[in-house]
Amino acid sequence: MSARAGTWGSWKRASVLPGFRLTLGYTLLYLGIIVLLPLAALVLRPAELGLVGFFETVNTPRVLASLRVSFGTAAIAALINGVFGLIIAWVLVRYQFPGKRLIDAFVDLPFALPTAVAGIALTTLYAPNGWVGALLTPFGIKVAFTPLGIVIALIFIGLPFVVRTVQPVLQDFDSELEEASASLGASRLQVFGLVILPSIMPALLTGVALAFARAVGEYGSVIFIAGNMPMKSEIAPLLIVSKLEQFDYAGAAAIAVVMLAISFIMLLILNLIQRWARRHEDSDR
Amino acid sequence: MSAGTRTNKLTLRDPALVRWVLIGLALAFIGLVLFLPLILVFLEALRHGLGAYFAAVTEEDARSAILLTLEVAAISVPLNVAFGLAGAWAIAKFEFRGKSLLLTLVDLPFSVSPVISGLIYVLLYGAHGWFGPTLDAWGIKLIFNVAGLVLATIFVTFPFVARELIPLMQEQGTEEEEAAISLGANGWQTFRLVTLPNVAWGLLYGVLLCNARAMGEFGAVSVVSGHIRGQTNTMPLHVEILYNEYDFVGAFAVASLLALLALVTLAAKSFLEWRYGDRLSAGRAH
Amino acid sequence: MGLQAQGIVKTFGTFKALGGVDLDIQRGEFVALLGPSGSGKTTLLRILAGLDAQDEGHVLFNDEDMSGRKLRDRRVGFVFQHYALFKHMTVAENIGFGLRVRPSVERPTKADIKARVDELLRLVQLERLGDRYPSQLSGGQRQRVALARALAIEPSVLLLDEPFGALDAKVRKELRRWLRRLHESMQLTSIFVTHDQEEALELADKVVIMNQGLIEQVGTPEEVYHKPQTSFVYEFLGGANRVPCEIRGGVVRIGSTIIPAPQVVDLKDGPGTAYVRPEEISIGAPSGAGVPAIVQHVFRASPLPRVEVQLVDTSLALDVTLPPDEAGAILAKGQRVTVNFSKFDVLPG
Repeated sequence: MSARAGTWGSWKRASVLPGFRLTLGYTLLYLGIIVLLPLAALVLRPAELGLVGFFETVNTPRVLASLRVSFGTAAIAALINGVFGLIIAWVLVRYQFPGKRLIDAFVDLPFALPTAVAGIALTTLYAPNGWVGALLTPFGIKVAFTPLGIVIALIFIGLPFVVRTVQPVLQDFDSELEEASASLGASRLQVFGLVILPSIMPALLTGVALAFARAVGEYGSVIFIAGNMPMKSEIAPLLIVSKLEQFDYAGAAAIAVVMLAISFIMLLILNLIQRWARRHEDSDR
Repeated sequence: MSAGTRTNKLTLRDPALVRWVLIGLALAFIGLVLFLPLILVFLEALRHGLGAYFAAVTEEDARSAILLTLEVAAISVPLNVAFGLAGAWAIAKFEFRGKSLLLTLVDLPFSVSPVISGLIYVLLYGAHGWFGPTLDAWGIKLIFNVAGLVLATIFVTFPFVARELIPLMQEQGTEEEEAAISLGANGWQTFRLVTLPNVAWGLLYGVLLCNARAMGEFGAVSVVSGHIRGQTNTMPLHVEILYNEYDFVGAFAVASLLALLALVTLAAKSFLEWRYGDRLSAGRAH
Repeated sequence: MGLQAQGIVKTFGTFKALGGVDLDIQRGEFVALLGPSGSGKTTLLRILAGLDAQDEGHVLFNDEDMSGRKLRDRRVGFVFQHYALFKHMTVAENIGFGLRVRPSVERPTKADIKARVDELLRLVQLERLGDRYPSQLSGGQRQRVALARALAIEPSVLLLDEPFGALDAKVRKELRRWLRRLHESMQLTSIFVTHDQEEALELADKVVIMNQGLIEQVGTPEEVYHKPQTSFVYEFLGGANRVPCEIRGGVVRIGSTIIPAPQVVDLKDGPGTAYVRPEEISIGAPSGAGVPAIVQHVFRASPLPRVEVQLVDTSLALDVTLPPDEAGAILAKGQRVTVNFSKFDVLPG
């Protein structure tokens, strides 16, 4: 036994359970083939363009505009989801009303409904002659085939991320804290703003970040409603697809790398903000 | 989900007006963003009556799209189950360095655009990919072929099972397994008789979500498919083609099948959460 | 079966859980590993079982080195602290598990397994609960199922990790007695971990007291209680009072009072600590011999009256337990008294 502890002990704690090498080996092999190798291709492929070529590929007005559209609409949708996701989570946790169970289950619809289905449904709904679109046209509001349409699709996609991260935290929220602050004379609004909101803030930020990350790369639900007008409502993933269709692999990979890099940096910043927001929490939480 | 005890506390009750305004806002938002689109799918599909609907879903290309979708799911879901079980066993039951890195890798597909998920396989196996020409010389075609669809589907769906099982197995610790081993069970017996029954519902839950996504994936398979009708068109891709050809009834008819799948998934998922909530891992977000 | 640990060292990261432990256990002994949390007792038990691997040292069963021997082959009956019952199996299935998973050549027939399970159910007095699931049992019943399950494989040694830790006080006492009888009637060799000194002293033939990864003392309950060898054992067992003192020429001085010290023979001059148990202190009239003190509190709501006194010279507080006949009735707060030590030990430092 001491011999085994010697060879493995440095990086793995000894255990009586068998199968570690087999399962870890299989896991690594699977990840290697499915994830690492293809991602390596993605990162290395743009290299054949050279640094200048890479820059020229990405630094075209059309690519930059598509990145702006993708990240901009994703951010707006994530913020709107932040507000309404919080309201929905709040209502589901705090209030009783008929059909609550059903609504609760229904929130997960975007996880289960294929994005293409959502895409054509939302497009038909918000087109100028659609149920909702027709109501908005008299006011001069055009949703489908504009960036506003993209935002609608991304709201659909991202909503459950916010609700499902905030909901459990709200559920576990210690009502003694509320009672304490109420007993100290705080109004409901003050209790919410000063006590509840700060403690659910990290979860809310996480939910918004997840919704944002998902929205940036979204394709299926967006392409139908976006209208895909270059410079206006063309998203970056669509540009990748059209580069691929022209067999410009390196160009497609270059845009993809830039997208991933921007997402990564934004998530990193959000992580830092979250760490800051959690600074007062107990370490065991 | 019962918050009854909380709302009964006098000090914590919100004014009725606030309550109803918030409930109204929530319902309106859900109705507008989630409910209306779903209703619309079914109404549009049935716009020209049941006859047209059945004609649309039984039409030649639609049938082969349905079969292909089932085929792709039937291959990729079991592979991801095997991976999920192996990965969860290694990650949840053992302590080793590099574990958090491994967890991050498992989560990775969730943060990658579906289009990029397809793109990476084209970069490897496409006509101008790293291995494409070699494979081509051997007469193997992965991209614009079922194999490519399976690969891309595996990529976008493989975290589902693992993500459900890892926290669940971690919560359960290793005591029961240690007990089984101390009683003389071998590794396979321990896994089959002790571990597997303990995670069975969580596994089913993961499979459910994995399957829904596998059948409904659009972006990734769209990139690798080549959209060859009757050959590499899955249901979501077929929906797109019909829609772009202005065959709205056809598009919504096929879409309605996918929407039904989503509703069944949601119902089964809610049932599992309600009935076996204590045996699923807490705090899942996907 | 005899069982030996030789020079066991175990480190978790930078934490030294065991720093070289030697232990010798005879066949048929009932041994308690006693110590505070973090003392290494559970780690030692898990290493003896083969659930953890030691970094250095050897574990011997009947003089045979178990190093590298798989847990399955050691035939160790291990009862986990939280029982680790298989939630999805009935009580009977839990107990029969060890027989069911044997390789097919050694595996008893279904009927034999059933007979053996029934026998064990009778042994642990759960005859009619074989079809229940663990979640339908009380804590004490689960404990007995865990025990029956461990006994089913006819273990060479029975190891129990905090066997009564999760039970309430009444059940704990009953189970303790029952376990003791079981150990004797089945002629087991048993080792259990506990942090409860009363449990260890009452149940075990041999008590192993551990602290910070090392063994402080090994002995019968009488030996460790009446002849503690280290200051740790003194303080851990019986809640002794610590009284700082001066040793000069074989004489012990507390404050300005010299007290007779029969046990102190070869102590060097210098500061020392006298350890004296509450029941080894008597209280006398202020005019009598002894260390002057003032009564601070009298607690009468206990089987034996307890008094807290403060020494006049050093303002040190001492706990005193009085015999029932004295009843402490005459004592009141603020009263001046003298205290005498009927028995105490002095250790240097």
